Amino acid sequence: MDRYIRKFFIFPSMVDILKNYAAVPGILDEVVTDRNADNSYYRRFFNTLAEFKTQDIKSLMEIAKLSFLNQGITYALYTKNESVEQIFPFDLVPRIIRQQEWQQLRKGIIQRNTALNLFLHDAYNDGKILKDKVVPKRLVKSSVHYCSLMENFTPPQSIYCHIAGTDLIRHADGNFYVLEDNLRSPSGVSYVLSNRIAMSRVMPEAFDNTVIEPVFDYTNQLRSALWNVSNRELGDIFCVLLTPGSFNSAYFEHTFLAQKMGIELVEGRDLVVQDGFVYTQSIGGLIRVDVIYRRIDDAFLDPFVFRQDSMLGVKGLMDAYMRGNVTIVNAPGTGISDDKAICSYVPDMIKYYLDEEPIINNVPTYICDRPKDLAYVKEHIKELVVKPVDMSGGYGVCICDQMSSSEIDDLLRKVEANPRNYIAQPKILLSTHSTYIEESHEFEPRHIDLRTFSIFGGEEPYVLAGGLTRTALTKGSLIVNSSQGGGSKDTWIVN
Amino acid sequence: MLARVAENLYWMGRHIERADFCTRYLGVQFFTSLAGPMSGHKDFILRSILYVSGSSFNTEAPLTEQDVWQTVIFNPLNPNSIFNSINHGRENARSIRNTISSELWEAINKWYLFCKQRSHEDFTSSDLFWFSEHMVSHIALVKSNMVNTILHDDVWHFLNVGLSLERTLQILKIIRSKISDISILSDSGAIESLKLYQWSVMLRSVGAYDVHQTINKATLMSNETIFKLIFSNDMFPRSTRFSTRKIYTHLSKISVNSEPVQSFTSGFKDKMDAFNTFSDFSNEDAVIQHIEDMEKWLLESHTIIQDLFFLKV
Repeated sequence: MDRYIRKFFIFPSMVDILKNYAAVPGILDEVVTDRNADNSYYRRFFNTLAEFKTQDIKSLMEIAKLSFLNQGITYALYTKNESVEQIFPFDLVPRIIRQQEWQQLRKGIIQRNTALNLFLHDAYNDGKILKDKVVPKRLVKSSVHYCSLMENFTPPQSIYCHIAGTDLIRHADGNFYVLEDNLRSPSGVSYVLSNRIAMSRVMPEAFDNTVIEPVFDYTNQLRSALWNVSNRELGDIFCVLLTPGSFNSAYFEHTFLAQKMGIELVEGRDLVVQDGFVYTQSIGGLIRVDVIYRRIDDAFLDPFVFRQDSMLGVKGLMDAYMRGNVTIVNAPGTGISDDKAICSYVPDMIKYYLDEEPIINNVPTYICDRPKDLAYVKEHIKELVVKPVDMSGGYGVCICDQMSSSEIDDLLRKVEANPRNYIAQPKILLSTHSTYIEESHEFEPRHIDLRTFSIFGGEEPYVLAGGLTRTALTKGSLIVNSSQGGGSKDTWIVN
Repeated sequence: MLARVAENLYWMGRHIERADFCTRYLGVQFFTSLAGPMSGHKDFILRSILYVSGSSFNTEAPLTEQDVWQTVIFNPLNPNSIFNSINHGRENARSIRNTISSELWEAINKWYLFCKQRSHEDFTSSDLFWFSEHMVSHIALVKSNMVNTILHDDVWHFLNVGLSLERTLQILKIIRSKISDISILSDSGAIESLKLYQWSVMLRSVGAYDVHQTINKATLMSNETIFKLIFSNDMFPRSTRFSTRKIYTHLSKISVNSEPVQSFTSGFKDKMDAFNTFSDFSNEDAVIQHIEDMEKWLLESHTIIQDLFFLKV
């Protein structure tokens, strides 16, 4: 019976598609928790899903996959020999967060990133927080992302981090915690918008009788922020998105954002600096560029001052920036704040700059650079997760209770040789969520996190409703990153 | 418009048109040979397909159909394989995805995925018809989205300059190939019907067979009727006259009014008008010279377009 007929003749007795669903003891399962509550949105969703046979659900997944593939909504996964275009696996079951809880998270995200922007200005100018020894000066200055060129320089509106990606996890106690900040070029927002489109195409029934916060104003908000941090009048402002090119893993996102914002997508070779101004090469000559939303790392921005072998950047860009003739979004040097060691001081920054208690707490972090913390890490390493301070995408993460003795010995040697480069955190059991597993054709619990996206520099701070829920697809895995085989879900903020 | 975007649009048009022509030629040449007077000349047919596709091959070794399909259609190491043309066109589109419509991008991407998914070593002649039919549908969808889903501004003009320039080059290449095929057949004492048959294949390859019959109701097919249609007809989209006019029309509408651009455009028109007065259709040597001159002129024009509009490294 096809979907059209089924819509009008709903089967009275639906198969309970969660009948074999077994939440893991000791881990918070968001679906099970909500399902037992009054007015459960998950119950509504699964009642809708129960109208589908197993075969239908498989077909829906296939349709979703095909839709992503045909649209080219892919990312590049690099193997030893080649770059392979992959679909970011999309899961049919949305993650649902209630409005009341979301509003609290939203405030916490704004609070945190406001403090981080104040910290960046302070760290590169007066250094008050360093003089007051709230954040160790040595930690800041030794960060690989520290950019001495930014000293005594203030970007327009004192905004350093215009776009922030704050990664949240929900612990067994039911509370959200910040796992890490992404303040350089956080990626993934295009999947939030694409997931919503896919969800509405594949399962329009799920949207009946549920009011979900829209997500499509993100690109308008971002464009307004770009205009706002330009030094020129609206009408004259020329914004570009600087991409490393079509072989970059996030290239789909770059094209998507440029298209939705109506700005030019440029590569380094499209730009040229003349007399302290940045221009793009058009068919009719040079056009002045006012704002560069860059999606390349600091190291590649300008071969005159950073990596000399960079083929992705623009010679003289930093000079134009320092003269105030162009705005770079996010500012160079913001990476010091997502150094995982410095990130652990954000609650202190919030107290220092805003005189407020942090609304969202950090996951407790041991900074190996501190002798006391290092001693603790060495003694309790089997209970901890050890991470390099400057890597992202789940790379370098060591979940020590899953490692052999010799692997742990190796790790300890590395940590002791360069303690500044590592932090450790207790193993946080991320919440789980019902996820459709293709191999078993069952809905099974999988660990999830939430990457939120916020924009600063516009009329007021903006946080995208929901964000990107990333899900591990391997049973028991705590690594949700796409580069490590993770998938994603549509995230609904419901009223 | 960014210079790099213009360059990618131009090449996107060229690659799409190249894949289109090669696909059509392959299908027409092979299927019409099965039941026609050329049915005993399979090796000759396969060599002609390899030549028109621009694929290099060992002229001494015997050819198998399966090898030819791999070389001409799928071989990723053959820069002129159909798959590579589509792949290059798709990469051009991908590089400027924010400039073209989602519909056009999706149509190109689907075409690429279709061709990629069919690429396997046991592709045989019995897969060819089904494959060609789907390819033609994909091409039609791509071209329809070009016309209907993008602004007819500089994006459209650069796309069409590339497409029309490639079309003209491909037409010239097919005519040249057929003249060569007929010459080989004549040397080996082939009968007149075989030669005529080659011309009908050429007409079918450019979609001109029905048009030829319609406008020559009372005239037998001859070199003259064929050349007149393919070189001089100003109403037929796959004649060189029509295609070169299209190049000129789009060039002249590009929104750059600098002196070098204006000078090139008016020079292009003068040369085009001169070429389009050619009428010595009964003289085969003159026709060959005409083809060579046109090819040279188009390749020079390509270089000037590159210098005038595209990214200066």
